[in-house]
Amino acid sequence: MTLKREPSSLSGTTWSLRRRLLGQLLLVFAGLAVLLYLSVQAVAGRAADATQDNILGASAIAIAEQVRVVEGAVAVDLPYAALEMLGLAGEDRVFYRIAGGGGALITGYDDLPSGELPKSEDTPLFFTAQYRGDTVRVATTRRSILSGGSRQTILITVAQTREAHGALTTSIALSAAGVGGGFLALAGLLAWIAISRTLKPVHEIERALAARASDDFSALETAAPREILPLIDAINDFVERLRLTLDTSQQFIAEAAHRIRTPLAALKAQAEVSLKAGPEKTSEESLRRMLRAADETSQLTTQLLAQAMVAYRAERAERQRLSLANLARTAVRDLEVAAEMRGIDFRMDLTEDVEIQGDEIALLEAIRNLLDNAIKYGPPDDFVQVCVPTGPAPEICIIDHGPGVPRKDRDLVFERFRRGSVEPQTAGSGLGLSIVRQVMLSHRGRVRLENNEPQGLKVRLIFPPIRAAGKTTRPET
Amino acid sequence: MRQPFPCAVLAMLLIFALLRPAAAIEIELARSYPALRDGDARAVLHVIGTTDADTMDGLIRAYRAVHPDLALVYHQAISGDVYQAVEEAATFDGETYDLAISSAMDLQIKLVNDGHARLHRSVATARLPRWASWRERIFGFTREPAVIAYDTRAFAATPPQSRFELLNLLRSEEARFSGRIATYDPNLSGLGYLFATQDSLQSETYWRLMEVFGNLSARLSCCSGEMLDLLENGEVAVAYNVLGSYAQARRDAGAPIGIVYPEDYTLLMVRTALIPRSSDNPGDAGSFVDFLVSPEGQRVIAGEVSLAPVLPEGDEGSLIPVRLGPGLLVFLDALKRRAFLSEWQSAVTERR
Repeated sequence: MTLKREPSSLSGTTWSLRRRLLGQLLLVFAGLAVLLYLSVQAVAGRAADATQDNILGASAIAIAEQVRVVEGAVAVDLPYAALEMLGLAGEDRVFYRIAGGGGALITGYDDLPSGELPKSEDTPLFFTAQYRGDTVRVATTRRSILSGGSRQTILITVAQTREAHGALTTSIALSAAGVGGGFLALAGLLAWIAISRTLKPVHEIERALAARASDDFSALETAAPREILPLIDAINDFVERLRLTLDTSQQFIAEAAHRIRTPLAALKAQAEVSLKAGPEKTSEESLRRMLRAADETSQLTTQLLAQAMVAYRAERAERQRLSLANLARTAVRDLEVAAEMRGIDFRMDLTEDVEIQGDEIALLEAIRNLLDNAIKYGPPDDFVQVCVPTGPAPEICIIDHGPGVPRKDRDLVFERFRRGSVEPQTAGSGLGLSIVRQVMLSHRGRVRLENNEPQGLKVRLIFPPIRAAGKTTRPET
Repeated sequence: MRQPFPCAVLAMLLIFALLRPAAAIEIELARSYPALRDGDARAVLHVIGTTDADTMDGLIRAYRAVHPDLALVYHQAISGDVYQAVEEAATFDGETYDLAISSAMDLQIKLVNDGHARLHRSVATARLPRWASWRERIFGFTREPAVIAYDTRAFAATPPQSRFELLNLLRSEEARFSGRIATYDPNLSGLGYLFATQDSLQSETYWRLMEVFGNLSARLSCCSGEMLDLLENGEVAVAYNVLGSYAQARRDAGAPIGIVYPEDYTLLMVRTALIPRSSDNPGDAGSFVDFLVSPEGQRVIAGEVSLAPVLPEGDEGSLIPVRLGPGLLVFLDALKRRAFLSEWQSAVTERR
């Protein structure tokens, strides 16, 4: 069965990848287009300036060449082409001024500004000025002539309004803007196509995942580019873990059902037998058996639930700083009644201020399980030792004087529903040590079983030092 | 008698007027046209122009027919005064006019160049050829070719068709043409000066022609009308650089006058209109300009008014339009003018 989900399900959609990429690319392209426009405009302005200056300069020099001395007086034969050429590029207004030494007007517009004196005769001086309500570009050149024995400097100034200049600049800039806009549109289109092609593997993964059945945990076999491969690996890894978790849960449920059914069936059988025999024939022995079956069922259920709780908390619970001594004291207090019933004392040897990073509820569950085992398997009227030693690694240990666990069974006892081969008559579910191991794994710690000399079992819970525990890497199972 | 262009005295006044900006403006004739519709006129349009009032009459009447609520006054003046009137209205508090019409292209161009004309942009003016308008402020509305007019009674054979042929003819038959040639005196006539300067730009033949004219003691005249009178009276056989439209009008009236558009080149002037910046009624002035260059206005110019319309622009052949542009300012330069006239004088009088 395939579940169809809305694309924006649990975590909410951020921007679409395609739109984000396209937006960023277009932003860059738009920036480039604006840059192109501005630079073309600047270049166009300079080119138009140069064009106008060239014509103005040529005009001024053409006039300068016609400056003569006729019968002792300065005469200028204004060449027709000098002004006509200024009219070829556009319809701009034209002004000129020819002045002699001392600025005396020879001919032309007297109020036209002629600017500074150019340094050489070959290179006219150019500047922009306001004249008769218009901006004009002005070229001034000079010419030295000998008149009446003295040298005279003649200043020739030609000016032109800037309408054609502005029109030229605008038209070039508009073309540039058109090119920029076209570039932007084309780039956007190409970017769209490229992005679509790039995102294709992602869509293929999506299709492959959507198409598969909910119980299909096989690895994705989609061919993908190098950048996408980690994603596929991560998905496959996740699917594999999901499969393992699911397998474990199913096994657990099956076994739990089986385990609970057995003592319940025994209980039911005892009850039926007692009912048939009648109240007077019901022996104390059969009542005791019924009580024991009920006891076992109750403990099994409690521990199954505890295990489920621990497994759940291993992934989710928040870690906090905990004192091992306090943990030990709390657990001991919880089990004081059960211990008293078997006449057992606790002897505590706790080093204060040994701290770990951990989940209090799960750890208490684990310690209680160990204490419970010690009470159950140790001889009655004895004592159980609880210690928090000083050492490089934080540690808590529980020591009883029971039969212990033979070396060959030490791995086995951590399996679910396995019990040591020694004590078949004691009530127990076989879940206790498995819970302890699970809690320790989720705390990146270890459980060690050791022989206690001369007799008994020493269980050591060894935690990583607090700094290393701060790193939240996933415990390997 | 038609005297649309300034005669000797007036031309002298023109020169003085140019030299003395504050000189009084002389209006030769003012003709008023009240609104056709009863009641007060919506507005009055003051037109100042060099074209004679009788010629303008036809155009003004045609315009009034379309705008019956407009009153109009036509002030006739010589081109120097038209120039001065517009310039003074801008510079001093002179009398203002709404439209200035002149055949002196150079003076009109100077008004535009110096910023005294108002921008006018319309569909009608956009149809003008490029040489017939400048800066969307000056608009040519008639074409005025400079032609060779001759006395048909003096030529049995084909008259000379180009300046070169005319030159050869005059050189080979000096006795026949001595004292029987007429042309503009550029000293006296603004238009004559414009023709002469443009001729000098076109070809060196012009100067040789002037030398021959000097040798033949050519009659120097102030105006086309006077030269056509001389032709009609049989006093001269050839008149060089006569306004084509005037010659054509005389010929149409039955005068024994022949017209040659010189094959080497024929100068083409335009009569222009501009709206002074000082105009009180630029809206109606613009509408009048649009009428002048509109198909309707051009038809009236070709018909009743018997001038040559500027549109449609056809194959110009040997016609060389004098471009409206800053080049025209060159010969307005006082130094340039003095130098040109002095050269012209020496060419015409050298061998006399």
